[in-house]
Amino acid sequence: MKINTVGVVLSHYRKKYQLSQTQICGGICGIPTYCRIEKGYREVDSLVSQSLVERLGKQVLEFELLLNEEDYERMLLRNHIKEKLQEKDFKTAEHLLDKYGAIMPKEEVLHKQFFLCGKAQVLLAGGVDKTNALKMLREALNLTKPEDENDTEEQLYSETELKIAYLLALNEKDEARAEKQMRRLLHFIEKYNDKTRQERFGLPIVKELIQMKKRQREEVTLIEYLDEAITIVSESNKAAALAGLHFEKAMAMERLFAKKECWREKKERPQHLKDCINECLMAYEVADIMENTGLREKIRRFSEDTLGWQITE
Amino acid sequence: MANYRVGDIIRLTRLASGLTQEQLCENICSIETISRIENGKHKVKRETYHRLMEKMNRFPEKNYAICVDKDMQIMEERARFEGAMAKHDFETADCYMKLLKEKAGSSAPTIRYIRRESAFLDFYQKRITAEKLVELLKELAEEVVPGYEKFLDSDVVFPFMEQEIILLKRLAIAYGRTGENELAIKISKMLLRSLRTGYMAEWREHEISIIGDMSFFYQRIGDFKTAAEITKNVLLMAKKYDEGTMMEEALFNSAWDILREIRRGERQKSELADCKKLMRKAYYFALARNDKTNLKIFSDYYREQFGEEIEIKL
Repeated sequence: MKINTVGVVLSHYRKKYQLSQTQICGGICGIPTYCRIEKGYREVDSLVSQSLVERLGKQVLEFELLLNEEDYERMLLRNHIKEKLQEKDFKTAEHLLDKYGAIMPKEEVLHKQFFLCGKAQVLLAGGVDKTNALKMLREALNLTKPEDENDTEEQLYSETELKIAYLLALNEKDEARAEKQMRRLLHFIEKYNDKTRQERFGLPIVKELIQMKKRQREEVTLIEYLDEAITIVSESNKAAALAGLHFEKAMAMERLFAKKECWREKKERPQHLKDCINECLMAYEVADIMENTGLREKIRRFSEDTLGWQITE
Repeated sequence: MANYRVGDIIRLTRLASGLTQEQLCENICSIETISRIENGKHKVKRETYHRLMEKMNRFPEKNYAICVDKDMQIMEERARFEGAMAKHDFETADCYMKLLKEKAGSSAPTIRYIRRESAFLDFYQKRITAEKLVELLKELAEEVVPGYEKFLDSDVVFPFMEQEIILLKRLAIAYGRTGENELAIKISKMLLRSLRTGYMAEWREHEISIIGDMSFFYQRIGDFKTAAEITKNVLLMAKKYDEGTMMEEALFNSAWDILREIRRGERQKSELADCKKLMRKAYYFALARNDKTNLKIFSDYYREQFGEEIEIKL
């Protein structure tokens, strides 16, 4: 049966983004298989087609991907595992992963990668065997992205690859290297994914970069990352996270001002204060609407004590 | 990942179409199979699903299955058009609509989409009247969801597909513009009954937006109390699901409700300060989201009503 679904999506976006077939299917399947999928003769299970579509930052309905009953069972189990990991119910996730390990086609790399990624997340959450967890993650990533090919700038990622690469960057001791890796992931997310997926996958990464820049006291880059996070949240039609982000921005702007003596001139200070207070007002109103009273009070105190502006109800 | 409850859609569509399982599965699959499919115990094959839906005069919506290469281009053009409409940038939307019309070809769903959207765009651009808008959308509804009226006063839940929901939601808005607000409320309630059975993935967004529209319909028939309650409800839901635009609009509408009650003498004039405060809250919320469309709407309205700027003087 000719199934003109996933193939249409793959072919359209491959041409649109001017990517080679190898870039999309490398490590996942061979070019002949990829060509068959693109032409509409799918002979692979849902994890393969799903991963290919994800490397283009797209998503198709699961119903469109399913191959047979076994494939359906495995897909349900994968979704259940992801759900439990998201909820941080690691005990149930581990139990389900064992079940998945028993039914998955062990010779297929994507299943093994999903399994190892899940196991590593459980280990990392336990906190006792971090070394082994990171080893597992590297092994999992190597299955589809061999290390020597891994260092090019333009990379495409499936959701599992993205998760693994993010966890590895998060646990990277060298901060400059971690930042480079996270920027590469962000580049992929922002270039190929829609606004909702940018919020889902990109925001946690930008938030990590924000924390890093705060530690390094690099206010200029910190403000750039805060603006990036604010744009991601706003464009995905979300709001709750904006209270914290605008408040961080107000504080970073004030720290930056304190560092630069030349800005202390009378002409500059009023405008700077206005900008800071505006950030605080935005942060305050979002926190108030979202009933985040703790944050709201912090913003009020900062505005009053540091900026000399009283936010009135 | 979207959760597409195929069995539910088939069962609900069959019930809505008044078919028995035997009638539906004839020459397609066995009665045991259809029963298992409807109960979610059997994964339906794509081809079977299409044949079943075709027999009930439905097509699977929001689904890449209906795409050919040209359709992918149309989907992207649609996304651009919808982006411009969301920003109330009707000039740009006009350009995208022109492109869409050029690329549409003979695809029936695309042609219907164009008819629906261009009717609305023409109305916003004041090229057609509200009466003409109703006429165009009614014509379309008769083609796409024939006989939907029988579900208006019925308890039977009809599993409308996403594009049908959008069409009927738009029809309700159009009725609201011609003063037929009772009918608009009935249509909205019918859609909510369907959506709330949860057969469709990502239905919350539609639910909140339909409830938001209902608030306006109740206002226009003079039932301000229900309208205000609905607005409050929208705000709670928008907060729960973190829906930014809905939140700022519900906040502004709450302030609007207070202002009207003050002007009708149902509230003390001293409450005007609370009303202004609420409007400013909505404004700074929109500023936090850099929502230029609502920022302009809120500040223009505030200036018009109170003769002063909405921003706090620093």
